[in-house]
Amino acid sequence: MEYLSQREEQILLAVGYLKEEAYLVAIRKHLSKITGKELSIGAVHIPLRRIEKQGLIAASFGESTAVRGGRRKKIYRLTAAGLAALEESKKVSDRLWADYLKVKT
Amino acid sequence: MIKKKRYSRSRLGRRILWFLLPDNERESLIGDFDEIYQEKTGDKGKPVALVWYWWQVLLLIPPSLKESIYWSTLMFRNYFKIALRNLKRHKGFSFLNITGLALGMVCTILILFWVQHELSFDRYHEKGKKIYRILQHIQYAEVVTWAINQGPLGPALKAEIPEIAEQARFCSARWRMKYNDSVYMELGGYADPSLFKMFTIPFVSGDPESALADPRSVVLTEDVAQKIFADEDPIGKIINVANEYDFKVTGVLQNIPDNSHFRFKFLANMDFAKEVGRTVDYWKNSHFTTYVQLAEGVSMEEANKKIYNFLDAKPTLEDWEKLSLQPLFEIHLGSGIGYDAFGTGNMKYIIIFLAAAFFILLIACVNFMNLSTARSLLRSREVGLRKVVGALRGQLVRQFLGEAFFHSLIAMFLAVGLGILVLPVFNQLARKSFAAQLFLRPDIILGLTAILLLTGFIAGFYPAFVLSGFRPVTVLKGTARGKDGKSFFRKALVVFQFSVAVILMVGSLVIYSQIHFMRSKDLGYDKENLVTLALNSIVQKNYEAFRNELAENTRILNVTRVAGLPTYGYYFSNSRWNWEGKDQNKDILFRANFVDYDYLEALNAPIVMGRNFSKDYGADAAGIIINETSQKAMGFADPIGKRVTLGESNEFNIIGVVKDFHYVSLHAAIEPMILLLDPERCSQIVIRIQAENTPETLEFMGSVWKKYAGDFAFDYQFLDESLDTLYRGEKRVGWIINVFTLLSVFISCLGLFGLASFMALRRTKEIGIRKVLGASISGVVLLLTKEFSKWVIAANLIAWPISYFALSRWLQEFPYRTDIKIWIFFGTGLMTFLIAFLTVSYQSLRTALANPADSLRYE
Repeated sequence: MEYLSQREEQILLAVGYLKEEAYLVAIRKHLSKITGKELSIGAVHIPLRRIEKQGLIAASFGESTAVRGGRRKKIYRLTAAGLAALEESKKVSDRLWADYLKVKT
Repeated sequence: MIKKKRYSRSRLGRRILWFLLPDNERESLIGDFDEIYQEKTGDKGKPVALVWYWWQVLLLIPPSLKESIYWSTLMFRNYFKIALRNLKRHKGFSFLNITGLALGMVCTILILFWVQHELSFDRYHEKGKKIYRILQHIQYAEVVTWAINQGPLGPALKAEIPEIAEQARFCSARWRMKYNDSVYMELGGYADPSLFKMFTIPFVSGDPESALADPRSVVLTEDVAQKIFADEDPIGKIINVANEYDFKVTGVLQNIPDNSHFRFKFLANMDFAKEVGRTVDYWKNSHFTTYVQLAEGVSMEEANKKIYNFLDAKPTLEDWEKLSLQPLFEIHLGSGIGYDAFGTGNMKYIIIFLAAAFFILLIACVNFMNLSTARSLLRSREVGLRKVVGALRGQLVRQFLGEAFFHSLIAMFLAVGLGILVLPVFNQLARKSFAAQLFLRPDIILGLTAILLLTGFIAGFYPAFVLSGFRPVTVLKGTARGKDGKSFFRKALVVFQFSVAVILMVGSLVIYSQIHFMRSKDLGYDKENLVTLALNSIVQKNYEAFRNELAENTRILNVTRVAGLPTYGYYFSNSRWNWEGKDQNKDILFRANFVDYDYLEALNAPIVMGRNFSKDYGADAAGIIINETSQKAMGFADPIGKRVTLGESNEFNIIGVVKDFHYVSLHAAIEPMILLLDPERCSQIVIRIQAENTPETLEFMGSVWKKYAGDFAFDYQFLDESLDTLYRGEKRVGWIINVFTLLSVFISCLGLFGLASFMALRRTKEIGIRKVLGASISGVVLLLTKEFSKWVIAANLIAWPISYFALSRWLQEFPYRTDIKIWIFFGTGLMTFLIAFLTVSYQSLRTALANPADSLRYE
């Protein structure tokens, strides 16, 4: 399977963390807060679209609010494949870290 | 206010987003944008949020733009490639199509040149909108309209009517100018100096204000100045006019543009015109073209009302004379106006030529339509496949329209090249001087683009509509057949093409026979072997000796003099003739001419009653000869010896009646004419010679002329040739229509040829089987040509009544006209039939002669 990019991994994690509130604005805010730099909409949306196409996340429409001009939110959730991808990624990353720490003096 | 503005801005932003975003995500994403925008407004204030919002929108534009351009160029490249491949693969058809279109376009382009030139006449005068020419309407049997007025009229109008701000008079003159022993004959005129104030006539040198202040001053146009003085400075030079007067050149004008109704090479002062006997101060004669400039803010209607009755209070010749204004811009294309100083164009011919050019272009478009739809089956697979892969009908229409434009574009380039090549020939035909640089003018380029688009659209619309309508299932299954309805349309188109060709053919034949009729009609006198010479004052002084010396030669039969030659055979016209028993309520216009004793004898115009002028009768100066039409108009059964008066003081006796003869061109019916004996007022010498040994006779005449006329050139003319020039206009039209006819027939045949070869191709197998079963070659050829023959016959049947109707109307204008003969119709019918047959027969024969084994082998 394909490896996730760092940004994709971050987004997947944010989706998993935000649960029912996982829509674009919230994901962007969450990531901006943790990484400390403001992301553009495109920087979040384009990877989102890509992993949605890959089937790692699924989307459904949520409620609409006044602040959105009456437009509905597109809410994402992790799919089984997404979860598997995350775990795989973590495993790879852990192994790499473990190897690295072993030789680090 | 501000809030609303911002709201609308972000609404515009939303609109843009809506366009840029993929449609399944529009809603949620626009919502996301809005939410962040609101949040930012709360955190950092509206301006920052707004900037952010627009920045995001801007960031979105390039990728989506890139996407759409990428895909559309990809498709365009594909369309282009397919179009090119088709062009290359079907070279024959492409050639037929493009040649036809290019020929049609050349025609249209050249006619457009001509039309825009005709319509541009006099537009360059800066004050042109306020300038009018005065027309005079006089009541005779009918009201006639003349472009000439009484000499004092212009100044009187200016003085008495405040609406008229300025006036200028003009009358033309032919000058014999001499400088350093070289002689130049030029056409020019006498004018008021105010002409330079009203019209845009730029000076190369000299001062417009004072140039014509002196009655012995003259201004020349640049080309004449160049001809006479070459590299010398013309200003201040003295030229001699008519061996009598010395004129000082005080100005040089820029050459009069081609699109000016003015046609003069020099201008001299009105005062000089008075000196040489022009009726400048005389209310009883009309001789001058009068131009007026209306005061600021005065409309044509107001001024027209003011001047209409102006002549009622003036001592003019006729009782009922009215005035009206003619806008400067309408002078060139005005019609039905007598005594126009410079000659005019003809609106009717503009319309005829425009229509003809349009129809030829249409014929070429029809070729394209026919060949494309006939061959549509060849491309049905492509259409089917494109549709299966998801092409919309609109896209296919665009593709095929695009191909038509592509063909038109190639044709346009060809047409421009061809146009540059044939421009000199066209210039000669149309008597214009267009340069190839005309193609670079913005309005012409605009016109060319319009022609291109029009052609592409007309040619491509129907095929695009047909081709894009194929149903993928049928064409891909391979069972598609051309529907009958469509092939009916195709037949109708071919019939239409040939109808146009037939109409033009009949037209050119009828025009030709009318010209022939006019040139060969018996004019009532013998026009052959008559030589004419312009009389000048030197020869006039010694005329008797000159005449006697000529008469000694036995080959010279008559030598006589006249004021107006039978090309334009009268000297003055009015209705002031009176006789006993005249109905005083009826004004009849009489033409009058001055002649020498033996004029009628020289013309061989028979006297039907009474006698000719003769020196045997002492008082013949009071005698007049009238023509038969005059006799009828006067109502005399026996006119000989009747007393006739002209005005108050002149009394005449009718001594003879001459048989009606044509003394002007055949464009006008014979009018009442009176011949007066006055050799001193004659200005032309008419000499009848024997038909044999003409060169020797002319040589002899030349030597006698030289003896008496000094340095006046022996500039003789044959009368029949001069008469021919009267019909130059018709000849020119005839020529142009001939060219049109040829082109239309040729283009139609191109189309027919293409269609025939295609149909033969499709029936190859059928013919093969027929031949195997024993069909003869002639039988097969007949089979293949039968269909086309039907179309041509149908086209003829449609075209005959139309052309008969149109040409009868054209002929109505001529008082003496040929009948439209029945053979013309059958002749064109036969011609078109033959041409169509020849076009088709090549293909038919080839198909019929083909070995059936070849065509059937693959089955």
